[in-house]
Amino acid sequence: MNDLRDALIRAKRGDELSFAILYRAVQPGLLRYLRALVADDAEDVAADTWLQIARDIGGFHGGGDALRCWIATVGRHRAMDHLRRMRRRPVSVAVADGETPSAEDAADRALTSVGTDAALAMITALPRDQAEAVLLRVVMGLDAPAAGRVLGKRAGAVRTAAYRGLRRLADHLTHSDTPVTWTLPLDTGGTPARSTTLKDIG
Amino acid sequence: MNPSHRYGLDRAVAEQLLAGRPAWPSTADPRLLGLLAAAAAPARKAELAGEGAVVDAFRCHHPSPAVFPEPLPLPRSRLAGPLPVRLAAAATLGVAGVGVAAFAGTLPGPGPVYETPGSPHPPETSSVTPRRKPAPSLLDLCTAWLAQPPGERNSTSAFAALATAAGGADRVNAYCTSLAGVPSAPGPESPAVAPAGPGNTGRTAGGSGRD
Repeated sequence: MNDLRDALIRAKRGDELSFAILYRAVQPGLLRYLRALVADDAEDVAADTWLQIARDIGGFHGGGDALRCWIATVGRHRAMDHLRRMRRRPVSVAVADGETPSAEDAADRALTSVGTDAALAMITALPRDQAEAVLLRVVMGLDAPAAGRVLGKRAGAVRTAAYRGLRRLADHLTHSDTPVTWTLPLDTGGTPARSTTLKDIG
Repeated sequence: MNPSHRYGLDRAVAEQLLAGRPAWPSTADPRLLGLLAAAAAPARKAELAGEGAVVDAFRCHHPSPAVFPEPLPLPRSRLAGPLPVRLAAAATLGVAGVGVAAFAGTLPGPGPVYETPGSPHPPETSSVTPRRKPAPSLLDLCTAWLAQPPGERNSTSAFAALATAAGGADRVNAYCTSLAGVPSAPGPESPAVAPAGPGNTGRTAGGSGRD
C-alpha cells in the first residue's frame, strides 16, 4: 500500500522509527498468515522473517505493495524451512465448537460476538491452498497476482482458490450455529488504563 | 439454485470481499463479511510484542543514522490497513435487519488499536509512539533539549536537528516527549512560544509544558 511508501524509503536509509512503522503495519497480517502454516511457532517464524527483512531491506526495490509481497514470501519460505526441520505438515486447525458462544436467548444471540482468533481458525480449517489464498488476500492485503507470486501460482489459480474458500466459509456459517455478529476484538490483554480509553472511544 | 450464486457470492462479489472493497450493499452473507473483518482486524498488542528485538536487529544492520536527512514521516499507522474498516462498514450498513450493527460499536476507527499505556501523544503529530529505545543520538539531543530552560531551548544547536527529525519546529516538543518517554501533558506545542499570561510566568509555564 502506498501508505508504507514513505516509511519504506526512510527505513532503507536506516531510520529505525520508519522500520518500526513498517513492522507495525505488516506484522499482524504476517503473524496471522503464518499461524495457518506453523500454528504456535508462528511468532518464532515471524521473528526470523523480520531479521531477514531488517538485514536486506536496504537492497529492496519496490513500493509498499511489493514490500508486503516480499515479506509474505520470506515468511512462507521460513515457515516451510521450519516445517522441514520439524518434519511435519502444515497445521490444519479444526474449528472448535466451543468457540461459538452459546446464546442465552434470541436477544442476546444477536449481540453474540466472536473475534479474530475464531475467524482465523475458521479460515485455517479450509483446505490449505484455499486458506493461504484467503489469508494472503484478506489479512496480508495482497492482490491476486502478488498472492500468486508468494505461492508460486498464477493469479487465476489464486482467485479460484480464494473464491472456493469464501464459498466454503459461507457454507460453514450457514450450516453451523455461528452467531450473526463478529466483533473486531479490542485487545483483551490491555491494561486497565487502556480499557478505559477503549470504552471512551466506544 | 446455481451453486456459484449461493450465499450471494459469485466470483465478482468474492473478489470485492477479498480486495476489501465490498459493494454497498453487498449481496454476500453479512456473517461472511463480519468473519473477514474480524480476521483482518487491527493489531492486537501481543502481536507486536517482538518489535523491540526486531528493531534492535535493524539497528545492528543500519548503525547510527544520527539525524534524518528529511523530516520524519510519522504517518498515521493503519496496522491492518483500511480493509477491516471497509468490511465492517459494509457488514454493518450494507445489510439491513441483521444484528451486525453491534459491529459498529466495537470499531476502533482507522487508527491502531493498541497504544502505549501512560504515554498519550498529540494525535496530529503521530499515531505511532516510539515504544523502544530510539537512536541514542536523537534521544540524547531530546534529553538535552528538554533539560534547557524553555526560553533558551530553541537557540540550542540541537534544535535545528530535532526540528528536522520531528518534521517541524512546532513538533519538537511532542516528538521529544514521545521519544524520551516523558508523559506529555496537554500544553503548548512549542515551549518557545508559550504565552506568558497572568499567573503564568515564563519559567513556570515552560516547566509544566514539558512534563
